Amino acid sequence: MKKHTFFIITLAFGALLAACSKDPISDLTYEDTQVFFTNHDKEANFKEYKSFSIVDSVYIISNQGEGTSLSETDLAMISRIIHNMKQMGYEYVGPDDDPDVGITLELVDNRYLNLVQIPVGGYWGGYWGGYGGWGMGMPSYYTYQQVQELYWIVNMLDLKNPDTANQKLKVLWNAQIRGEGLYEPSLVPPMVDQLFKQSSYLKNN
Amino acid sequence: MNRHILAIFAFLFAGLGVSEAQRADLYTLESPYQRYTHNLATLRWLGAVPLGSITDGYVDKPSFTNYSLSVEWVFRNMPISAGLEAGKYYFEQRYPRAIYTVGQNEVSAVKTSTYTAVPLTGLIKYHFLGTNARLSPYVQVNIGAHINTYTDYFGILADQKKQTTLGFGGGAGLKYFFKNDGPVGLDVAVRYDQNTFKYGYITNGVGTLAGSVGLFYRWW
Repeated sequence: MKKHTFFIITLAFGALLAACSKDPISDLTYEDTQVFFTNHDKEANFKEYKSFSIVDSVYIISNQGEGTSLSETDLAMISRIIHNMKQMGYEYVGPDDDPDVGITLELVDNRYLNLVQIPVGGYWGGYWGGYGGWGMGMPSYYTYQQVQELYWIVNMLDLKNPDTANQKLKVLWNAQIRGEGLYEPSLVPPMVDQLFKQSSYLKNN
Repeated sequence: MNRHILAIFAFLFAGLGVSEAQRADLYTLESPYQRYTHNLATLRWLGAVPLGSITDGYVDKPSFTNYSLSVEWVFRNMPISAGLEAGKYYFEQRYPRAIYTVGQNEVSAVKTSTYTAVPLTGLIKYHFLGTNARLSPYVQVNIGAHINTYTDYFGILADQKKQTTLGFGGGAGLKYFFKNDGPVGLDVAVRYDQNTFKYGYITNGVGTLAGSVGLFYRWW
């Protein structure tokens, strides 16, 4: 065996090992795939805010078009946020009752189509004896693979101190939920609870 | 008739005598593995523990999914062999849901920390009792490149870094031939590997201490 063959065998084996890897997160449950991001205005004193109001539907941000939605899951999200805000000590009031903070709820739903080529085998089993050694004259076979990016955004806006000069409302608290199973109604309560659990600074009581 | 039979037996015995003599000569010859520079391939399975800064909140669990293949030239009339080795170390650790600070954000996630190193190194071995002893202890040194892949999963979101760095190591082992002058045997070894990879939790390279069991085959 020529010496350079050693190099080829060893490097090929190394490349093979590098290419082979298992998916370490394939065993995660829907709940375990979910990641909760929260951030807040570090200068805000949340004890100053006593009442809140929340939007009556979910705003959909999508590359397919935007609009509002009030499905079973959307309603469950709104209800659970109200529940948690009350637990934190805030009073739930209507939008016209001069709330101190306003809560918005958005669902980002972007969908992309990727063109992929399906590799189709050219072996037909040699069943028809007259065509021994023949292959298939098959055209390239293409299909589309859809990729979806879906996540929730929750914002808490300061309605008590509006920036009237610049016509802006300051974001006091921002939260995002990413992962899988985000639109499962049964998973909504633990999802929303986690956002508030990791944001104990929001407590008002 | 009887004379013929006697003649045949005499011929056979004479033949046996010659072949016995030839066989005796054969055993006085050195093994071809001593007379020629030959090749040795060893496939190993390794149990490994990570060492160094990687164990500070990233991965400190041992791993049993590590492999290596080495091919060597075993030099004639020298207790030395040299060659190449390719392998793979893989470490993984799952952490239950916890809150991490990433930038200004509080991030709650189930974290899965993984690290893969694919060492591609050159090696030199010194065999204390020669290269053909049935039980052959040796020491080896390796130097080359490690292809590192660091992937820290927060849920399904990943923080990943791939980088090739310098890698080196050394070890001691024992080769056992299943037969005298045979081509096949068992290899057991302990080794330490180190590289200069730095990213995230890994601030000072990755060390691995491993024990290995393998099978080898030699040919010329």
